[in-house]
Amino acid sequence: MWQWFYKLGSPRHFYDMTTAFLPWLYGITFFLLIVGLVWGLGFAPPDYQMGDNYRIVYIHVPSASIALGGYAMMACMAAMHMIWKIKMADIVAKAIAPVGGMFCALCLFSGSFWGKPTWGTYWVWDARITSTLILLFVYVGVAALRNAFDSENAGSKAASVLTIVGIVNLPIIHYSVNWWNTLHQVGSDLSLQAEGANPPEIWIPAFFMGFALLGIFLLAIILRSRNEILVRERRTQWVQDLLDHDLQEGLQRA
Amino acid sequence: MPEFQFEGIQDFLSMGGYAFAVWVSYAFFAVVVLWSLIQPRIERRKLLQLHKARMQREAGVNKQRIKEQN
Amino acid sequence: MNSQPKLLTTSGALGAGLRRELQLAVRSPGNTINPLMFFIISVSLFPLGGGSDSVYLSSIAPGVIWVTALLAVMLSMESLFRSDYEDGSLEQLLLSPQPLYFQLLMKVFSHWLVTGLPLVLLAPLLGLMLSLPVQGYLPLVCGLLLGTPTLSLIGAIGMALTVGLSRGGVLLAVLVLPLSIPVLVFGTGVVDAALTGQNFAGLLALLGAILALALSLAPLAIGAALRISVN
Repeated sequence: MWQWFYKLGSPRHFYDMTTAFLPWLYGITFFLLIVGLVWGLGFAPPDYQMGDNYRIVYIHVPSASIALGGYAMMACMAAMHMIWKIKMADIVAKAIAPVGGMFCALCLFSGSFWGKPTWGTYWVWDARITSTLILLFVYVGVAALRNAFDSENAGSKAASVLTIVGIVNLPIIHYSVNWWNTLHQVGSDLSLQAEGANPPEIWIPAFFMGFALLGIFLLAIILRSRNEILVRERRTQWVQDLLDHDLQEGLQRA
Repeated sequence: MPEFQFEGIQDFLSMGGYAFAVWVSYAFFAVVVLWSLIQPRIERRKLLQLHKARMQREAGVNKQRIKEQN
Repeated sequence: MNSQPKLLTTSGALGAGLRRELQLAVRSPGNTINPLMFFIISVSLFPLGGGSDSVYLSSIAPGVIWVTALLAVMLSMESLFRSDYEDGSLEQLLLSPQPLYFQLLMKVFSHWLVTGLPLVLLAPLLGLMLSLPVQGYLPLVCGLLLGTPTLSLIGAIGMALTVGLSRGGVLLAVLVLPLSIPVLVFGTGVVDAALTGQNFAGLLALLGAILALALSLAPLAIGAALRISVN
Protein backbone atom coordinates (compact mmCIF):
# COMPACT_ATOMS: atom_id res chain seq x y z
CA MET A 1 0.00 0.00 0.00
CA TRP A 2 2.69 2.49 1.04
CA GLN A 3 4.89 1.40 -1.81
CA TRP A 4 2.04 2.09 -4.20
CA PHE A 5 1.65 5.54 -2.68
CA TYR A 6 5.36 6.32 -2.91
CA LYS A 7 5.41 5.22 -6.52
CA LEU A 8 2.68 7.73 -7.35
CA GLY A 9 5.14 10.41 -6.30
CA SER A 10 7.34 9.57 -9.24
CA PRO A 11 6.12 11.19 -12.46
CA ARG A 12 7.05 8.16 -14.52
CA HIS A 13 5.12 5.76 -12.33
CA PHE A 14 2.19 8.14 -12.15
CA TYR A 15 2.14 8.20 -15.93
CA ASP A 16 2.33 4.43 -16.27
CA MET A 17 -0.26 3.79 -13.59
CA THR A 18 -2.74 6.26 -15.04
CA THR A 19 -2.20 4.75 -18.50
CA ALA A 20 -3.54 1.48 -17.12
CA PHE A 21 -6.21 3.16 -15.01
CA LEU A 22 -7.61 5.72 -17.48
CA PRO A 23 -9.78 3.42 -19.66
CA TRP A 24 -11.54 2.18 -16.52
CA LEU A 25 -12.11 5.70 -15.26
CA TYR A 26 -13.46 6.75 -18.67
CA GLY A 27 -15.79 3.76 -18.74
CA ILE A 28 -17.13 4.20 -15.22
CA THR A 29 -17.53 7.97 -15.63
CA PHE A 30 -19.43 7.76 -18.89
CA PHE A 31 -21.63 4.99 -17.56
CA LEU A 32 -22.49 7.07 -14.49
CA LEU A 33 -22.94 10.21 -16.57
CA ILE A 34 -25.32 8.66 -19.08
CA VAL A 35 -27.40 6.87 -16.43
CA GLY A 36 -27.43 10.02 -14.28
CA LEU A 37 -28.40 12.33 -17.15
CA VAL A 38 -31.17 10.12 -18.53
CA TRP A 39 -32.54 9.33 -15.11
CA GLY A 40 -32.17 12.81 -13.69
CA LEU A 41 -33.54 14.68 -16.69
CA GLY A 42 -36.20 12.27 -17.86
CA PHE A 43 -37.19 9.69 -15.29
CA ALA A 44 -36.95 11.29 -11.87
CA PRO A 45 -40.34 12.68 -10.86
CA PRO A 46 -40.69 16.48 -10.72
CA ASP A 47 -40.32 18.10 -7.32
CA TYR A 48 -43.66 18.95 -5.74
CA GLN A 49 -42.55 22.55 -5.09
CA MET A 50 -39.95 23.43 -7.71
CA GLY A 51 -41.33 21.37 -10.58
CA ASP A 52 -38.79 20.42 -13.22
CA ASN A 53 -36.47 23.31 -12.34
CA TYR A 54 -34.93 21.25 -9.53
CA ARG A 55 -33.20 19.10 -12.16
CA ILE A 56 -30.46 21.77 -12.19
CA VAL A 57 -29.60 20.68 -8.66
CA TYR A 58 -28.18 17.46 -10.14
CA ILE A 59 -25.24 19.44 -11.52
CA HIS A 60 -25.28 22.29 -9.02
CA VAL A 61 -24.67 20.40 -5.78
CA PRO A 62 -21.92 18.04 -7.06
CA SER A 63 -20.05 20.95 -8.67
CA ALA A 64 -20.15 22.83 -5.35
CA SER A 65 -18.70 19.86 -3.47
CA ILE A 66 -16.02 19.35 -6.10
CA ALA A 67 -15.05 23.03 -6.10
CA LEU A 68 -14.61 22.93 -2.30
CA GLY A 69 -13.01 19.49 -2.13
CA GLY A 70 -10.77 20.34 -5.06
CA TYR A 71 -9.36 23.30 -3.17
CA ALA A 72 -8.67 21.12 -0.13
CA MET A 73 -6.94 18.63 -2.40
CA MET A 74 -4.90 21.40 -4.03
CA ALA A 75 -3.86 22.64 -0.59
CA CYS A 76 -2.74 19.11 0.42
CA MET A 77 -0.71 18.89 -2.78
CA ALA A 78 0.80 22.34 -2.14
CA ALA A 79 1.77 21.31 1.40
CA MET A 80 3.34 18.08 0.13
CA HIS A 81 5.23 20.10 -2.44
CA MET A 82 6.47 22.62 0.14
CA ILE A 83 7.36 20.13 2.89
CA TRP A 84 8.65 17.06 1.05
CA LYS A 85 9.48 18.71 -2.29
CA ILE A 86 7.41 16.12 -4.15
CA LYS A 87 7.37 17.31 -7.76
CA MET A 88 4.36 15.18 -8.64
CA ALA A 89 2.27 16.93 -5.96
CA ASP A 90 2.95 20.26 -7.63
CA ILE A 91 2.05 18.85 -11.06
CA VAL A 92 -1.34 17.77 -9.68
CA ALA A 93 -1.82 21.09 -7.87
CA LYS A 94 -1.18 22.94 -11.12
CA ALA A 95 -3.76 20.76 -12.85
CA ILE A 96 -6.41 21.34 -10.18
CA ALA A 97 -6.43 25.17 -10.20
CA PRO A 98 -8.15 25.78 -13.58
CA VAL A 99 -10.40 22.71 -13.33
CA GLY A 100 -11.53 23.57 -9.80
CA GLY A 101 -12.17 27.14 -10.89
CA MET A 102 -14.27 25.90 -13.79
CA PHE A 103 -16.39 23.71 -11.48
CA CYS A 104 -16.76 26.70 -9.16
CA ALA A 105 -18.03 28.75 -12.10
CA LEU A 106 -20.39 25.91 -13.07
CA CYS A 107 -21.76 25.89 -9.52
CA LEU A 108 -22.40 29.66 -9.55
CA PHE A 109 -23.81 29.62 -13.08
CA SER A 110 -26.21 26.73 -12.57
CA GLY A 111 -27.17 28.18 -9.18
CA SER A 112 -28.13 31.52 -10.62
CA PHE A 113 -30.21 29.94 -13.40
CA TRP A 114 -31.91 27.79 -10.78
CA GLY A 115 -32.46 30.87 -8.61
CA LYS A 116 -34.14 32.99 -11.29
CA PRO A 117 -37.42 31.00 -11.45
CA THR A 118 -37.22 30.02 -7.76
CA TRP A 119 -36.41 33.32 -6.05
CA GLY A 120 -37.10 35.64 -8.98
CA THR A 121 -33.52 36.85 -9.21
CA TYR A 122 -30.27 35.63 -10.72
CA TRP A 123 -28.10 36.80 -7.87
CA VAL A 124 -28.57 37.01 -4.12
CA TRP A 125 -25.85 37.97 -1.65
CA ASP A 126 -26.47 34.81 0.29
CA ALA A 127 -23.64 33.56 2.51
CA ARG A 128 -23.01 30.38 0.58
CA ILE A 129 -23.14 32.07 -2.82
CA THR A 130 -20.76 34.80 -1.67
CA SER A 131 -18.33 32.26 -0.21
CA THR A 132 -18.37 30.32 -3.47
CA LEU A 133 -17.69 33.50 -5.41
CA ILE A 134 -14.69 34.25 -3.19
CA LEU A 135 -13.49 30.67 -3.63
CA LEU A 136 -13.57 31.30 -7.38
CA PHE A 137 -11.50 34.49 -6.88
CA VAL A 138 -8.92 32.53 -4.90
CA TYR A 139 -8.73 29.83 -7.59
CA VAL A 140 -8.20 32.53 -10.21
CA GLY A 141 -5.53 34.19 -8.05
CA VAL A 142 -3.58 30.94 -7.61
CA ALA A 143 -3.65 30.21 -11.34
CA ALA A 144 -2.77 33.81 -12.24
CA LEU A 145 0.16 33.90 -9.83
CA ARG A 146 1.62 30.70 -11.25
CA ASN A 147 1.31 31.98 -14.80
CA ALA A 148 2.94 35.30 -13.93
CA PHE A 149 6.31 33.68 -13.25
CA ASP A 150 8.73 32.94 -16.06
CA SER A 151 10.49 30.30 -14.03
CA GLU A 152 8.46 27.14 -13.57
CA ASN A 153 10.10 26.45 -10.23
CA ALA A 154 9.46 29.87 -8.70
CA GLY A 155 5.88 29.86 -10.00
CA SER A 156 5.25 26.47 -8.39
CA LYS A 157 6.54 27.55 -5.02
CA ALA A 158 4.71 30.88 -5.08
CA ALA A 159 1.45 29.17 -6.01
CA SER A 160 1.98 26.65 -3.19
CA VAL A 161 2.47 29.42 -0.63
CA LEU A 162 -0.64 31.24 -1.84
CA THR A 163 -2.69 28.03 -1.82
CA ILE A 164 -1.72 27.36 1.79
CA VAL A 165 -2.43 30.97 2.81
CA GLY A 166 -5.80 30.52 1.10
CA ILE A 167 -6.71 27.36 3.00
CA VAL A 168 -5.96 29.11 6.31
CA ASN A 169 -8.02 32.09 5.23
CA LEU A 170 -11.02 30.39 3.62
CA PRO A 171 -12.66 29.21 6.89
CA ILE A 172 -12.30 32.73 8.30
CA ILE A 173 -13.79 34.19 5.12
CA HIS A 174 -16.62 31.68 5.29
CA TYR A 175 -17.31 32.53 8.93
CA SER A 176 -17.19 36.28 8.31
CA VAL A 177 -19.49 36.04 5.31
CA ASN A 178 -21.93 33.95 7.33
CA TRP A 179 -21.98 36.58 10.05
CA TRP A 180 -22.34 39.38 7.51
CA ASN A 181 -25.23 37.54 5.90
CA THR A 182 -27.21 37.28 9.13
CA LEU A 183 -26.63 41.01 9.63
CA HIS A 184 -27.90 41.92 6.15
CA GLN A 185 -30.71 39.40 6.10
CA VAL A 186 -31.83 38.86 2.52
CA GLY A 187 -35.16 37.47 3.63
CA SER A 188 -35.47 34.34 1.57
CA ASP A 189 -35.09 30.84 2.86
CA LEU A 190 -32.34 29.50 0.68
CA SER A 191 -31.79 26.13 2.21
CA LEU A 192 -32.59 22.82 0.60
CA GLN A 193 -33.54 21.32 3.93
CA ALA A 194 -36.24 19.22 2.33
CA GLU A 195 -33.50 17.01 0.92
CA GLY A 196 -33.90 14.51 3.74
CA ALA A 197 -37.51 14.04 2.80
CA ASN A 198 -36.73 13.47 -0.87
CA PRO A 199 -37.79 10.03 -2.16
CA PRO A 200 -35.14 7.67 -3.56
CA GLU A 201 -36.35 8.32 -7.12
CA ILE A 202 -34.88 11.81 -6.71
CA TRP A 203 -31.69 11.12 -4.78
CA ILE A 204 -30.48 8.00 -6.59
CA PRO A 205 -29.90 9.92 -9.85
CA ALA A 206 -28.20 12.59 -7.72
CA PHE A 207 -25.84 9.90 -6.50
CA PHE A 208 -25.07 8.90 -10.10
CA MET A 209 -24.51 12.49 -11.19
CA GLY A 210 -22.34 13.22 -8.15
CA PHE A 211 -19.93 10.42 -8.96
CA ALA A 212 -20.08 11.22 -12.68
CA LEU A 213 -18.93 14.80 -12.00
CA LEU A 214 -16.24 13.51 -9.65
CA GLY A 215 -15.09 11.19 -12.43
CA ILE A 216 -14.93 14.07 -14.91
CA PHE A 217 -12.95 16.15 -12.43
CA LEU A 218 -10.49 13.31 -11.84
CA LEU A 219 -10.19 12.63 -15.57
CA ALA A 220 -9.45 16.28 -16.23
CA ILE A 221 -6.73 16.56 -13.59
CA ILE A 222 -5.15 13.23 -14.58
CA LEU A 223 -5.06 14.19 -18.26
CA ARG A 224 -3.62 17.60 -17.43
CA SER A 225 -1.05 16.10 -15.06
CA ARG A 226 0.04 13.65 -17.74
CA ASN A 227 0.61 16.47 -20.22
CA GLU A 228 2.51 18.41 -17.59
CA ILE A 229 4.71 15.35 -16.92
CA LEU A 230 5.53 15.13 -20.63
CA VAL A 231 6.51 18.82 -20.64
CA ARG A 232 8.59 18.78 -17.46
CA GLU A 233 10.32 15.47 -18.14
CA ARG A 234 10.75 16.08 -21.86
CA ARG A 235 14.54 15.69 -21.66
CA THR A 236 14.39 12.21 -20.13
CA GLN A 237 14.80 9.14 -22.27
CA TRP A 238 11.52 7.55 -21.24
CA VAL A 239 9.48 10.56 -22.35
CA GLN A 240 11.38 10.68 -25.66
CA ASP A 241 10.70 6.98 -26.24
CA LEU A 242 7.08 7.38 -25.25
CA LEU A 243 6.56 10.29 -27.63
CA ASP A 244 8.29 8.38 -30.44
CA HIS A 245 6.04 5.42 -29.79
CA ASP A 246 2.88 7.54 -29.67
CA LEU A 247 3.87 9.34 -32.86
CA GLN A 248 4.31 6.06 -34.69
CA GLU A 249 0.97 4.81 -33.42
CA GLY A 250 -0.65 8.00 -34.64
CA LEU A 251 1.03 7.73 -38.02
CA GLN A 252 -0.09 4.16 -38.45
CA ARG A 253 -3.63 5.11 -37.69
CA ALA A 254 -3.57 8.06 -40.09
CA MET B 1 -39.01 0.90 -12.05
CA PRO B 2 -39.04 4.64 -12.76
CA GLU B 3 -40.96 5.71 -15.82
CA PHE B 4 -40.45 8.55 -18.28
CA GLN B 5 -42.00 11.67 -16.78
CA PHE B 6 -42.81 13.53 -19.98
CA GLU B 7 -45.34 13.02 -22.77
CA GLY B 8 -43.25 13.08 -25.91
CA ILE B 9 -40.10 14.96 -26.86
CA GLN B 10 -41.84 18.36 -27.01
CA ASP B 11 -42.94 18.07 -23.42
CA PHE B 12 -39.46 16.91 -22.40
CA LEU B 13 -37.81 19.92 -24.06
CA SER B 14 -40.21 22.34 -22.39
CA MET B 15 -39.19 21.01 -18.93
CA GLY B 16 -42.49 21.91 -17.30
CA GLY B 17 -41.98 25.57 -18.19
CA TYR B 18 -38.41 25.76 -16.93
CA ALA B 19 -36.82 25.03 -20.31
CA PHE B 20 -34.55 28.10 -20.36
CA ALA B 21 -33.10 27.65 -16.87
CA VAL B 22 -32.62 23.89 -17.15
CA TRP B 23 -31.18 23.79 -20.66
CA VAL B 24 -28.85 26.76 -20.20
CA SER B 25 -27.47 25.17 -17.03
CA TYR B 26 -26.99 21.81 -18.72
CA ALA B 27 -25.44 23.52 -21.75
CA PHE B 28 -22.87 25.16 -19.48
CA PHE B 29 -22.35 21.78 -17.85
CA ALA B 30 -21.71 20.29 -21.31
CA VAL B 31 -19.19 23.04 -22.01
CA VAL B 32 -17.37 22.28 -18.74
CA VAL B 33 -17.31 18.54 -19.48
CA LEU B 34 -16.08 19.03 -23.04
CA TRP B 35 -13.48 21.58 -21.97
CA SER B 36 -12.27 19.28 -19.18
CA LEU B 37 -11.80 16.31 -21.47
CA ILE B 38 -10.95 17.82 -24.86
CA GLN B 39 -8.60 20.64 -23.88
CA PRO B 40 -5.97 18.25 -22.44
CA ARG B 41 -6.20 16.13 -25.60
CA ILE B 42 -5.55 19.17 -27.81
CA GLU B 43 -2.64 20.03 -25.54
CA ARG B 44 -1.30 16.51 -25.91
CA ARG B 45 -1.58 16.65 -29.68
CA LYS B 46 0.42 19.91 -29.64
CA LEU B 47 3.12 18.21 -27.56
CA LEU B 48 3.32 15.39 -30.09
CA GLN B 49 3.54 17.88 -32.98
CA LEU B 50 6.37 19.69 -31.19
CA HIS B 51 8.17 16.42 -30.69
CA LYS B 52 7.68 15.51 -34.33
CA ALA B 53 9.04 18.86 -35.48
CA ARG B 54 12.05 18.47 -33.23
CA MET B 55 12.76 14.97 -34.52
CA GLN B 56 12.54 16.17 -38.12
CA ARG B 57 14.80 19.12 -37.38
CA GLU B 58 17.37 16.86 -35.76
CA ALA B 59 17.15 14.43 -38.65
CA GLY B 60 17.70 17.31 -41.08
CA VAL B 61 20.72 18.55 -39.12
CA ASN B 62 22.21 15.05 -39.11
CA LYS B 63 21.74 14.69 -42.88
CA GLN B 64 23.45 18.02 -43.45
CA ARG B 65 26.35 16.95 -41.27
CA ILE B 66 26.80 13.75 -43.24
CA LYS B 67 26.73 15.76 -46.46
CA GLU B 68 29.35 18.16 -45.15
CA GLN B 69 31.57 15.33 -44.05
CA ASN B 70 31.43 13.78 -47.53
CA MET C 1 38.44 50.77 20.34
CA ASN C 2 37.39 47.14 20.18
CA SER C 3 39.38 45.07 17.77
CA GLN C 4 36.62 42.48 17.56
CA PRO C 5 33.46 43.41 15.64
CA LYS C 6 30.65 44.03 18.01
CA LEU C 7 27.81 41.53 17.69
CA LEU C 8 24.44 43.12 17.30
CA THR C 9 21.73 41.89 19.63
CA THR C 10 18.36 41.10 18.09
CA SER C 11 16.68 44.07 19.71
CA GLY C 12 19.54 46.28 18.60
CA ALA C 13 19.21 45.08 15.04
CA LEU C 14 15.47 45.59 15.08
CA GLY C 15 15.89 49.11 16.46
CA ALA C 16 18.45 49.96 13.80
CA GLY C 17 16.18 48.51 11.12
CA LEU C 18 13.23 50.51 12.36
CA ARG C 19 15.30 53.71 12.33
CA ARG C 20 16.43 52.96 8.79
CA GLU C 21 12.87 52.38 7.58
CA LEU C 22 11.60 55.57 9.16
CA GLN C 23 14.50 57.57 7.75
CA LEU C 24 13.79 56.19 4.29
CA ALA C 25 10.14 57.13 4.70
CA VAL C 26 11.09 60.70 5.67
CA ARG C 27 13.41 61.02 2.69
CA SER C 28 10.85 59.85 0.14
CA PRO C 29 7.60 61.26 1.48
CA GLY C 30 5.74 60.35 -1.72
CA ASN C 31 5.43 56.76 -0.54
CA THR C 32 3.46 57.99 2.45
CA ILE C 33 1.56 60.84 0.86
CA ASN C 34 0.37 59.17 -2.35
CA PRO C 35 -1.72 56.42 -0.71
CA LEU C 36 -3.20 59.09 1.58
CA MET C 37 -4.10 61.28 -1.40
CA PHE C 38 -5.63 58.24 -3.09
CA PHE C 39 -7.67 57.61 0.06
CA ILE C 40 -9.00 61.18 0.21
CA ILE C 41 -9.66 61.54 -3.52
CA SER C 42 -11.44 58.25 -4.00
CA VAL C 43 -13.63 58.80 -0.94
CA SER C 44 -14.64 62.21 -2.28
CA LEU C 45 -15.63 60.58 -5.58
CA PHE C 46 -18.49 58.72 -3.94
CA PRO C 47 -20.68 61.77 -3.23
CA LEU C 48 -19.93 63.00 -6.76
CA GLY C 49 -20.90 59.69 -8.30
CA GLY C 50 -23.66 58.56 -5.99
CA GLY C 51 -25.35 61.74 -4.80
CA SER C 52 -24.65 64.14 -1.95
CA ASP C 53 -27.77 63.43 0.09
CA SER C 54 -26.56 63.26 3.69
CA VAL C 55 -28.83 60.38 4.73
CA TYR C 56 -27.59 58.30 1.81
CA LEU C 57 -23.98 59.29 2.47
CA SER C 58 -24.12 58.38 6.14
CA SER C 59 -25.56 54.98 5.23
CA ILE C 60 -22.67 54.15 2.90
CA ALA C 61 -19.94 55.96 4.89
CA PRO C 62 -18.53 52.98 6.85
CA GLY C 63 -18.34 50.79 3.76
CA VAL C 64 -16.82 53.50 1.57
CA ILE C 65 -14.15 54.43 4.11
CA TRP C 66 -13.24 50.81 4.76
CA VAL C 67 -13.11 49.76 1.11
CA THR C 68 -10.99 52.75 0.09
CA ALA C 69 -8.70 52.25 3.11
CA LEU C 70 -8.25 48.65 2.00
CA LEU C 71 -7.38 49.74 -1.54
CA ALA C 72 -5.03 52.44 -0.25
CA VAL C 73 -3.16 49.90 1.88
CA MET C 74 -2.81 47.62 -1.16
CA LEU C 75 -1.45 50.51 -3.24
CA SER C 76 1.03 51.46 -0.53
CA MET C 77 2.45 47.92 -0.52
CA GLU C 78 4.56 48.72 -3.55
CA SER C 79 6.95 50.66 -1.31
CA LEU C 80 7.31 47.83 1.22
CA PHE C 81 9.72 45.50 -0.60
CA ARG C 82 10.22 46.97 -4.08
CA SER C 83 13.22 49.25 -3.52
CA ASP C 84 14.81 46.78 -1.08
CA TYR C 85 14.43 44.12 -3.73
CA GLU C 86 16.03 46.27 -6.40
CA ASP C 87 19.05 47.39 -4.37
CA GLY C 88 19.70 43.96 -2.87
CA SER C 89 19.03 44.79 0.77
CA LEU C 90 16.19 42.29 0.78
CA GLU C 91 18.73 39.57 0.10
CA GLN C 92 20.83 40.87 2.98
CA LEU C 93 17.77 40.73 5.21
CA LEU C 94 17.18 37.08 4.30
CA LEU C 95 20.85 36.23 4.87
CA SER C 96 21.24 38.12 8.14
CA PRO C 97 21.77 36.08 11.31
CA GLN C 98 18.91 37.87 13.08
CA PRO C 99 15.58 35.97 13.26
CA LEU C 100 13.75 36.64 10.03
CA TYR C 101 10.34 36.41 11.69
CA PHE C 102 10.96 39.48 13.86
CA GLN C 103 12.80 41.34 11.11
CA LEU C 104 9.77 40.98 8.86
CA LEU C 105 7.38 41.97 11.65
CA MET C 106 9.52 45.07 12.20
CA LYS C 107 9.45 45.89 8.49
CA VAL C 108 5.69 45.54 8.19
CA PHE C 109 5.19 47.47 11.44
CA SER C 110 7.36 50.38 10.30
CA HIS C 111 5.57 50.39 6.96
CA TRP C 112 2.23 50.47 8.76
CA LEU C 113 3.48 53.36 10.92
CA VAL C 114 4.07 55.54 7.87
CA THR C 115 1.15 54.40 5.68
CA GLY C 116 -1.53 52.67 7.77
CA LEU C 117 -1.52 54.93 10.81
CA PRO C 118 -2.00 58.16 8.80
CA LEU C 119 -5.02 56.52 7.15
CA VAL C 120 -6.49 55.77 10.57
CA LEU C 121 -5.93 59.34 11.72
CA LEU C 122 -7.42 60.75 8.55
CA ALA C 123 -10.53 58.55 8.61
CA PRO C 124 -12.57 60.73 11.03
CA LEU C 125 -12.13 63.69 8.70
CA LEU C 126 -13.51 61.68 5.81
CA GLY C 127 -16.30 60.44 8.09
CA LEU C 128 -17.19 64.08 8.64
CA MET C 129 -17.32 64.68 4.88
CA LEU C 130 -19.63 61.67 4.48
CA SER C 131 -21.95 62.79 7.34
CA LEU C 132 -21.09 59.86 9.56
CA PRO C 133 -23.16 60.17 12.78
CA VAL C 134 -21.27 61.08 15.97
CA GLN C 135 -21.44 57.64 17.58
CA GLY C 136 -19.66 56.13 14.56
CA TYR C 137 -16.26 57.81 14.96
CA LEU C 138 -14.81 55.90 17.89
CA PRO C 139 -15.69 52.45 16.47
CA LEU C 140 -14.42 53.52 13.04
CA VAL C 141 -11.02 54.55 14.39
CA CYS C 142 -10.74 51.57 16.76
CA GLY C 143 -11.70 49.19 13.97
CA LEU C 144 -9.19 50.71 11.55
CA LEU C 145 -6.52 50.65 14.25
CA LEU C 146 -6.98 46.90 14.64
CA GLY C 147 -7.79 46.19 11.01
CA THR C 148 -5.19 48.09 8.97
CA PRO C 149 -2.20 46.19 10.50
CA THR C 150 -3.90 42.95 9.39
CA LEU C 151 -4.38 44.40 5.92
CA SER C 152 -0.70 45.38 5.87
CA LEU C 153 0.32 41.85 6.87
CA ILE C 154 -1.90 40.21 4.23
CA GLY C 155 -0.77 42.75 1.66
CA ALA C 156 2.84 42.01 2.58
CA ILE C 157 2.30 38.33 1.73
CA GLY C 158 0.97 39.31 -1.69
CA MET C 159 3.77 41.84 -2.19
CA ALA C 160 6.40 39.28 -1.20
CA LEU C 161 4.96 36.85 -3.75
CA THR C 162 4.92 39.39 -6.58
CA VAL C 163 7.99 41.53 -5.83
CA GLY C 164 10.12 39.62 -8.35
CA LEU C 165 7.61 40.17 -11.16
CA SER C 166 7.94 43.17 -13.43
CA ARG C 167 4.19 43.73 -13.60
CA GLY C 168 2.93 42.60 -10.23
CA GLY C 169 0.65 45.54 -9.40
CA VAL C 170 -2.73 44.31 -10.61
CA LEU C 171 -1.87 40.73 -9.71
CA LEU C 172 -1.24 41.86 -6.12
CA ALA C 173 -4.81 43.16 -5.91
CA VAL C 174 -6.23 39.93 -7.39
CA LEU C 175 -4.35 37.86 -4.83
CA VAL C 176 -4.88 39.96 -1.76
CA LEU C 177 -8.34 41.52 -1.99
CA PRO C 178 -10.28 38.24 -1.60
CA LEU C 179 -8.16 37.33 1.43
CA SER C 180 -8.87 40.63 3.17
CA ILE C 181 -12.66 40.21 3.09
CA PRO C 182 -13.01 39.17 6.78
CA VAL C 183 -11.33 42.40 7.94
CA LEU C 184 -13.62 44.43 5.71
CA VAL C 185 -16.73 42.61 6.91
CA PHE C 186 -15.98 42.94 10.61
CA GLY C 187 -14.55 46.45 10.25
CA THR C 188 -17.72 47.83 8.70
CA GLY C 189 -19.70 45.65 11.08
CA VAL C 190 -18.19 47.46 14.06
CA VAL C 191 -19.37 50.85 12.75
CA ASP C 192 -22.77 49.54 11.72
CA ALA C 193 -23.27 47.97 15.14
CA ALA C 194 -22.41 51.26 16.83
CA LEU C 195 -24.78 53.21 14.56
CA THR C 196 -27.67 50.89 15.39
CA GLY C 197 -26.90 51.16 19.10
CA GLN C 198 -25.52 47.65 19.56
CA ASN C 199 -22.50 46.59 21.51
CA PHE C 200 -19.51 46.52 19.19
CA ALA C 201 -16.85 45.30 21.64
CA GLY C 202 -17.27 41.69 20.50
CA LEU C 203 -16.60 42.60 16.89
CA LEU C 204 -13.53 44.60 17.87
CA ALA C 205 -12.34 41.52 19.74
CA LEU C 206 -12.83 39.49 16.55
CA LEU C 207 -10.76 42.02 14.60
CA GLY C 208 -8.12 41.72 17.32
CA ALA C 209 -8.20 37.94 17.07
CA ILE C 210 -7.69 38.10 13.31
CA LEU C 211 -4.79 40.50 13.87
CA ALA C 212 -3.24 38.11 16.40
CA LEU C 213 -3.56 35.24 13.93
CA ALA C 214 -2.06 37.35 11.15
CA LEU C 215 0.79 38.48 13.42
CA SER C 216 1.68 34.91 14.25
CA LEU C 217 1.30 33.32 10.81
CA ALA C 218 1.80 36.03 8.17
CA PRO C 219 5.56 36.55 8.80
CA LEU C 220 6.12 32.85 8.07
CA ALA C 221 4.30 33.15 4.74
CA ILE C 222 6.08 36.44 3.94
CA GLY C 223 9.45 34.83 4.65
CA ALA C 224 8.70 31.81 2.47
CA ALA C 225 7.44 34.05 -0.33
CA LEU C 226 10.47 36.36 -0.17
CA ARG C 227 12.83 33.38 -0.39
CA ILE C 228 11.07 32.35 -3.61
CA SER C 229 11.12 35.86 -5.07
CA VAL C 230 14.75 36.60 -4.27
CA ASN C 231 16.11 33.40 -5.80
